[in-house]
This record gives sequence, C-alpha cells and structure tokens, in this order.
Amino acid sequence: MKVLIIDDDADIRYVAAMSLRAGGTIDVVEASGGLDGVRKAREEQPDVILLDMMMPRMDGSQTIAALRMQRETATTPVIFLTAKTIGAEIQRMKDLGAAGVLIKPFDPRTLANEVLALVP
Amino acid sequence: MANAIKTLNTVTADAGAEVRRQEVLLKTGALQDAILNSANFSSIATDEKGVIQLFNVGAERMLGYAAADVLNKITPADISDPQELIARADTLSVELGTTISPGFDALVFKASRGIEDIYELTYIRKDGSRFPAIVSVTALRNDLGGIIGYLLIGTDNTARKRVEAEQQKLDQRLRDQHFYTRSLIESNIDALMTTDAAGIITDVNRQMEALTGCTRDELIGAPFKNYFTDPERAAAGIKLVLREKKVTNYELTARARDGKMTVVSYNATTFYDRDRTLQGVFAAARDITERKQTEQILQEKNLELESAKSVAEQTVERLEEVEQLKKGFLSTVSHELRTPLTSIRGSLGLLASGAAGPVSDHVLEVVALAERNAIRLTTLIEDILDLERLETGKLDLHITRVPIASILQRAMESLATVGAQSVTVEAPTVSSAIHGDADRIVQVLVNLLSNAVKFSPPGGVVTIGVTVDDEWTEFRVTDHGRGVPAVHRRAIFERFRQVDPSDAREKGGAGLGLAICKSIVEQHGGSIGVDSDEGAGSAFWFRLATHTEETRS
Repeated sequence: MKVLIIDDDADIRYVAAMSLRAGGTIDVVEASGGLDGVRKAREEQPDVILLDMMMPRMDGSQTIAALRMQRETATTPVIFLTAKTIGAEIQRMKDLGAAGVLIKPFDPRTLANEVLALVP
Repeated sequence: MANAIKTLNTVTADAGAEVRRQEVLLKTGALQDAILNSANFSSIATDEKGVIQLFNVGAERMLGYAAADVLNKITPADISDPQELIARADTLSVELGTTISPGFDALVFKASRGIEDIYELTYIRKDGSRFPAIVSVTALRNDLGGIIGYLLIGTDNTARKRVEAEQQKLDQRLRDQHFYTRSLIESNIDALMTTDAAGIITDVNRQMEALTGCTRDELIGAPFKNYFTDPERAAAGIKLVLREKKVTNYELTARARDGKMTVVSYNATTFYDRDRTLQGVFAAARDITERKQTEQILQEKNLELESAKSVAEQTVERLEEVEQLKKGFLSTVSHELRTPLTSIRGSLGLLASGAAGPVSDHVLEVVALAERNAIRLTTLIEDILDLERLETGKLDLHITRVPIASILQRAMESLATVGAQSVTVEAPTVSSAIHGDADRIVQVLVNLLSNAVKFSPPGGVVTIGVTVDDEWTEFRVTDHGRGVPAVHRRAIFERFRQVDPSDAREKGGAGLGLAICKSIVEQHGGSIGVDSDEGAGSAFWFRLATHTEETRS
C-alpha cells in the first residue's frame, strides 16, 4: 500500500511517515504543499492521501478540489489529517468528499490502523 | 378826485411851483383822470413826509379804506405789512450802506435817491386781510428838483401770488413725493441700485454705499461689475436681467473698498419710463452672509455627523471583524498549538513503541511521562476551547431525541479507553429518552464518571443512577471517594477550581471538566450539582428535559 502525505510541516510529515512505515507494509510518499501534492499524486498513484487542511498558498480544500479534477487522482481516497477540531469544520471536510477525518495530535502507534480503517 | 388834487395843492410849500404844477396837472387832466380814476391801480400820493394826500378809487377798492379815512392821517407804511417793512429796511440798509428805518423811508428811500423802484408789498386792508401788490414808487419833485411828495402806484399781485403759492405748493408736494420715494429707497434693508442697460450705475441707496464702501457720487457712473469678486458673473447677471426681465436669488460676493466680503443675493428687474422705453435695471441685494455661514456650519455639522456615522459604522465593522477574528482565533489557537504537539506526541509515541529504534526501560519510563503530559496538554487545549465556545455561545447544540441507553453505552465505552479498569461501574437499564445533544451529554457523563473513578479508592465502585419523570431525567454518578467538603461544593463548578490544588498534578486535569459540564447542562436548560458526605463519597448529578411528545414538537 502507498500513502501520500501532503503537509507543509516537515516534522509532522516525518512523524506520520515513520508511524505508517513502522508496520512494514506501507510505502510513504511526502509532499510539502498542495501543488506539490497534486503533482506527486499523479506521478506516484498512491492508494490513499493524508491531506493537511491548513496550508499556505493552496489549502486542503483547494488541494482536494484539484485532485478531483485530475483524471489520475479523481477517485483516490483522501483522509484529512487536521488540527481543526470544531464540529462544523470537521463536517465541512467530510462534505468536501473526504473518506475520513483524523485529528492531530495522533497516536503514532494507531495511525496506520486508523488510516486503513477509513480506506474503502 | 378834484378834492384830492385840491388837497394836494394846499400842502405844497412853494406857491408859485404849486400853481405851475396845477396848471400842468390840469393841462394833462385827461391822462391824470384816466390814471387816477382807474379802478385797477391803487394810486397813493403823499407829501414829502409820507402823509397820504391822494387815495384814488382803485386804492379804496383794493384796500377797503375810504379816502377820508387816510388823507392827511397816515402814511402808506401804516397800511403795509410791518414785517416786510423791517425786512426791506434791513436789505436796503445793507445794499445802500446806510441805516434806513423800517417805516415810510423803507418804502421810498430808493425813489428819493432817484432810483427806479418797483417791488412787492403787502398792504393790510381795513378788514385786516392782506393784499399783495406790486408797487411802483416815484418821487414827486418841484421845478427845482426838490422832493415834494411820492406817488405809489400799486397793481393787484394776488393772482401772481396765488400762482406762486400754488407753484410753491406743487414744488413742496414734489419735494415731499421725492422725499417719500427717496426714504423708501433709503429705508430699505437691501442695497438698492439702478443701472442703465450697459450696467453703469445710475442710482444707489445708503446700503449700497455701505456694501461697497464707496460714496454715492463714486458709485453713480461706475460699472456695476467693479464691486464684486467675480465681475464676469456680475456682468452676466445684468445681461440675464435684460434678457429675462427678472432675476431672483442671483448670488454674488461684493468686495468693499476695505476688502470686506459680503455674500449677497440679488433680485432684479428691468424698469421703464412712461413710454415703456427701457431705462435699465433695478437691483436689490440682500446680505446673506449670515445665512451662508449658517449653511456652512450646517454643512460642517452634517460632515461631522457623516464622519461620526462613518466612525460608528467603522466601529461596527471593526467589531464584526473582531468577532470574526475571535472565531478565527479559536480555530487558529487550536491549530497552532496542536501542530507542534502533534510532532512532540508523535515523536514520543514512536520512541515508546520502538519504531525509532530500541531504548532502555529507563528511557521508556521518561518517554512515557513526557507522552502522558503531551496528552494532558492536548486535552487541556481542547477543554479551554470547549469552554470558550460554550460560554460565547459558539457551540452549536444539535438537539434531538436521545435514548438514555445509548448515552450510557457510549459513556461506558469511552470510559474503558481511559483505563478505569479498577472501578466497577453499574448502570441501570432505562428505556426512555432525553432531549439534547448526544455528543455533549455523553461528554458530561464521561467527565463525571472519570472524576468519580479518579477519586475512588482502588477496587472502589462507581454507580450511575437514572431517575425519570415526565419533566426531568436525572443522571447521578456516585462514588465512595473522599467526598467534597461543603465549602467547595459550589466552587468546584468554576474554572480551574479543584478541592485540592495538588490534584492537578496527582490526578491530572486542570480543573476545567466540571465547568464544561455545568456549561453544557445549562445550555440544555438543565441543572447540575453535587451531594456529598465528606469522607464518604460524592454524588454528582445533572438533570435534563425528558423527551416527551410535547418536547418533540
């Protein structure tokens, strides 16, 4: 399985990537922003995308829209991994077509399972 | 008449001369008769002293005296206006450089000096009325040239006097009329002016003099436009009047000689003579400086008001922005605190799980401590944000019918994840429902259960009791811990308040849990409280509306 992590925070990408790789069954690709993420998604064809919401220049909602418009990634499951916890915000992310929403901080020991549980 | 001549003869001093004169008089009798008997001339002859010697029928008719009344008795001065005599004497005295007394002398002095003398004289009639006459005075002389008397021939001057009087009256009336017209013009509060068709001033009143600081003489003949700050506009005004025949409220600013500016509003019309020939423009200027100032002030006030309104609007806008910022702030604080916490907690988790490589037990203990506190910090942030949202009404409650059984089940599941293995929770089976936000009610119940577990001795029992009536459903969480002293029972529902401050370190939590519970319950319209026997445990309870058919609607 291949997971693309799109997050502008390098430390979080590092922790999340290591958490996912820990089980030995998940390949991880990283992108530091929305634009980079859309390109990597086309090139790498991940099975699932972990997408941060609050990013400079191109935020999570713009990124998911771009992913949906790109043939190669139009149906790739997207899970928001976000520090936004207000109910209305979570609902909005689901409305954008996300497969699920995971909250930061996450537990690195359970992250992989949580991601797998959300992928259809 | 013959008698009169005889009388005259008798007073003549020189007998020879008298005879000769008589002869001459007789010789020319026809002429004398014609003159002396004329009823249209008053002929009065006197001796050299002025005593009347002849008083003809004309004199009798005009003056109302019979000859007998006056002959040898009085002088003509006695039947003349004494004031006129005085005036004549004064005038002659000055004119001839000698003192002349205001008597008969005044009447004949010139004639006595051989100067032809015709003048106006008012006789006083016998009845006291006045008779204006023009009198011609001639000295009567003997052959040697000596004066023997005077002849005063008078003609009736009444008609002329009347004409003169009427003329005078007319003149006076004209003067009065002119004065009236002038006073109308002068008493007008407006600055009035007439100009010819070329705009040259032909008349002004005093207000116009005041307005321009120029005299009437300076103004008349000068171009009207010269006295305004905008001469072009002033000239255009005159042209406009000539074209339209009338102009109202034409504003100009007059500049006086001393530089003083006056804003005036002109009303002007053309005016004509009897033949309807255009004479020029009549213009009235009203000083509207004060009105202009008032308008200016009003305008300024309006601007101030506008500005104040704008400030108010900006303030409202700013408040709205602040409100928006505050909303954003909650979200941002959450995000900004959570982002580094994610890395910290993640890193610690990776260390603890060995994913980052093998670590010693000792290190594991320290990492676990750090991770525990990272979690605690995360919870605290969530609690603070929760409370903030609750207290500012930003927390949207999704009120629905919630079965009590589902609340209890979710709470128990949640509790299991926080490691309350050493506590037994006994929950009843309840079939009814409450009216509220399921997530939030579960949050309250979990919070109370967590506290109960936290403060229960190892192996202790925590019980959940539910009591339902038509109106309220009461949840009651009972523990057998150390209890809550009476003095703290109200305070523990406030923020950051714990019975024992050291609890924060020993038991975890920052003292926000109960404040959040209270806020959630109260937003549901419910109530929350604690019953406790100090040292024998506590019972925390909250009441919410029971879901009935009525509450559904």
